[in-house]
Amino acid sequence: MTQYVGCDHARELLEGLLDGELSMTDQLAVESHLRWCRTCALHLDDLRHLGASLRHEAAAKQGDADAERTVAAVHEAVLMRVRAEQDQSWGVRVRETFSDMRLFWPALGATAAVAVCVIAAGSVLQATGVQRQESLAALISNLSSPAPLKPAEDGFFGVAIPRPNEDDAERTGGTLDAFPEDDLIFFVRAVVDAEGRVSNYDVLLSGDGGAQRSVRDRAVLDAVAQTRFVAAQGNMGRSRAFDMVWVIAKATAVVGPVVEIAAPVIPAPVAKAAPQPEVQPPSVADPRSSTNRPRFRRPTISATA
Amino acid sequence: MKNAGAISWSAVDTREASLIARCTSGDEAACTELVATHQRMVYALGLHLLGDRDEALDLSQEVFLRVFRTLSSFRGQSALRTWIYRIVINQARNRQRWWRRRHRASQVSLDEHLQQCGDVDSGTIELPDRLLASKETAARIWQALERLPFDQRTALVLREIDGLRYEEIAFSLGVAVGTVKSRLTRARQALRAELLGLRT
Repeated sequence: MTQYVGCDHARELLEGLLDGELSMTDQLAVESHLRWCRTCALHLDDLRHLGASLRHEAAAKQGDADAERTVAAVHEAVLMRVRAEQDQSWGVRVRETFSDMRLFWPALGATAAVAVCVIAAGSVLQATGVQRQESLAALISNLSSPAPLKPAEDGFFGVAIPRPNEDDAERTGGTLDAFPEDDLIFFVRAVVDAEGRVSNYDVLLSGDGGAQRSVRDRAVLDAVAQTRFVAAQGNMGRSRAFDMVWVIAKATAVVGPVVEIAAPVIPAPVAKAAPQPEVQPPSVADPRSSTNRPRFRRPTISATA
Repeated sequence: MKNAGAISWSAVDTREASLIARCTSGDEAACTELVATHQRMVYALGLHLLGDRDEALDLSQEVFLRVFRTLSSFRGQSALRTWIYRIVINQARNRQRWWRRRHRASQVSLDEHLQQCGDVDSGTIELPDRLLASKETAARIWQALERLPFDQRTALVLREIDGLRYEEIAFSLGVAVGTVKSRLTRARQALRAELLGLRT
């Protein structure tokens, strides 16, 4: 049974019919339509007329005998050139390869762009190659492969603890001379910032509970506030803030040798979450010292992280 | 000598494959045979696309040089004739672009040319009216063809004059078959409008 097609659909298929590109079903449907549709038949005639006219004119244009001879001569020249090219140097071949520069410049531009991108990416990778210790990558790396703890070589876990200047240490300890008590000891918690200044200080424990305590505490705290430290030094040589407990003591030897308190005492590290005041060990009389030497006072330093 | 047997010749018959193999190995007689077989077709297509005999001769020379330079890369993905058509079309397109860039300022529209030089010579030989009208109609249609965009003109020439199938035209132009159909439809509509204009 032949399929019925309307004029609109038939017009779409006319060119396929003319060119012999329709399926058998479509061809039968269109030919059936053309039997009764005069308009579409005329349309198809027009298309046939166009094709015939083009072929006629094309034949007229290329049918010239002189042109035939010219074509043959040109192609003889082509063959001669082909033979010559077979013996040509590589330089000439490369030049002729690039004779059509239509795609050369876009290709060159694209290549240059790729090269720039590769160089930029390499620069970024190189710049990020040095891993900073405080970076997230370093943290993950350390957590994934923890290294054994090294013993502290100099200071507190590789950090050189802050030390007061000699003059400041003497002045701070000398503050206690203004008070008549023979033996005094202060535990001051202080934060020494990266520039060696004391900030955020507090008296943890003072020597006794006498009437002059508040006056004495203020005097000691004023002296502490004015003290300048050599700031703590980290592994990379950078200055760091340091939270520590500073022990300031005045000890008196009434009879016998001079009491000498050793210079800074660095105790074992104490957990930061629960800092405990350090208690200065009792002074030990040195029997080798002379009895007529003056009494000597020196502040001592103890630190907790 | 290159071994052409390693190439897969899916769309090329045995005789053509043998010819190609001989050409790539430098056989002069094979090269001559290839040129003799296709020279008329190459020249005619160049003439129809460019509309100028000298241009068509230069073009056909370039085409055959390119054919022999690139024949070793031909893998039989189409018939040799279709592959050569593709080269002709690409060369013609390049040549037309070059010509447009160099001579854009000196271009004269066809209407201006007709006003200055008169209508196209329809021949001085006396012919029957019907035949004369037919020749004039063909000439006007050809002029309309030359005014079409290059891609539409190429598709129509390949179909109507060279008789290529849609798939072959699509390969030669490097486009899809649907694109070929739409270009043919637009080209025929334009030429039919010219034809209807001649009748009124």
